[in-house]
Amino acid sequence: MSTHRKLIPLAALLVCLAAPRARAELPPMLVGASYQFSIPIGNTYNYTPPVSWRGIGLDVATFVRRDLAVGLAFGWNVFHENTTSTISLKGTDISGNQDRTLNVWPTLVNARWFPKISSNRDIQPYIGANVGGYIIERYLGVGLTAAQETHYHFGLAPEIGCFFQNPVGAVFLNARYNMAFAAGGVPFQQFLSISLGYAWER
Amino acid sequence: MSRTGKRLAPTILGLGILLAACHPTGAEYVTDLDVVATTHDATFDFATPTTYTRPDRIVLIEGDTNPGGNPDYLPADLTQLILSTFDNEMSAIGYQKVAITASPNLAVSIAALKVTNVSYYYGYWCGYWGWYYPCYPYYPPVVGVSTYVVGSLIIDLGPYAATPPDNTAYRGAWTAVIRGIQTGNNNTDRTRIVNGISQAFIQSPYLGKP
Repeated sequence: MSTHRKLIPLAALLVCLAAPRARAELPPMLVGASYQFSIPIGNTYNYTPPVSWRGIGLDVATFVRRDLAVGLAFGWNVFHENTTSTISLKGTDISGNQDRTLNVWPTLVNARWFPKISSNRDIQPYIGANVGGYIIERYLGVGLTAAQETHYHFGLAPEIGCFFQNPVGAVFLNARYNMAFAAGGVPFQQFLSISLGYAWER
Repeated sequence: MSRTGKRLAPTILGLGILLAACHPTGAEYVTDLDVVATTHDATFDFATPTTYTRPDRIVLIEGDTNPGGNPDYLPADLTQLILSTFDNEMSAIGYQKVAITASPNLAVSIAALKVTNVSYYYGYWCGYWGWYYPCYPYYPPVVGVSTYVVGSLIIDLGPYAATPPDNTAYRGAWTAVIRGIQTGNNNTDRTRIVNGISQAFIQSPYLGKP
């Protein structure tokens, strides 16, 4: 018993001393900026078929465990199509020069899991899940007439990616499958965004 | 933030914003504004009729310039171009033009609509104390005015009736609106008219014989 009485305070002291060290070992908050291109799918493809080469992303993440980070993801993806195809609106067929644009602003919270595949973590893959909202502005201009509507869509986005670390930060590459559910008469939207960016510690 | 991050972040963000902001929008040429719209009665059987009739002149709707007088009409050369283009398209899908006395199956009316849009701005002056007092117009006044003309061709097609309906409401079966036929350049406008009429038939595959 006496041995136990001595060991318990010693263990408590070790825990207290070790705790700040353990916290210090957790990676600090990461900030990442990325260029994105996006491949439209489904209804998004039907409205604006071309691949979007215009997109940016901003990610903020903090590690709650050594292998688990939670964060926020913001972005701006622009899909655009100029076409002369005929469209049908409320029983009327309309042809003319059309400008179709989708401005998509994802605002997501996410969790990312970083499995340990090597001791130095120079190459660190991860999988993640995003949930949140997509602000989607849909523009259609035909001739002298234009219509625009903006809605907030609930959405989900599974994600897979990899960090390539260097002494001052990390290059990252990821793919995110964005799914924005129907809202305000705008149907379910989907697109796959590929991001190439740089992350650094704050 | 690391030094590399500080250096790269603005570059990545700047490049992204530039790419996102530079997408093309709006019309570059006047023909980009041309629109052809068609609508039809889905219950009407377009395969049964074989003949149609139409007037030989096209009414020009351009404000009431002569109240109580006769309506204005399009010039003869333009009328000829529109009617011959229309007749060719109708013939190509199996409808034959006949005189109104031959009891045609279909009747066609064609009208041109010319609208002059005027926009203007009025110059105002707001000085240092514009925060506290209203702005005042320039003296002498500075007014900018711009105008543009939009011409449209309206084609209606419906079953022929020897006597007008009681309620004077004539039920059409097919309507085409061809907007963008008035730029002031005759050559361009003539091409646009022909293309517009052809497009109206192209996008209406339900017309004519199967």
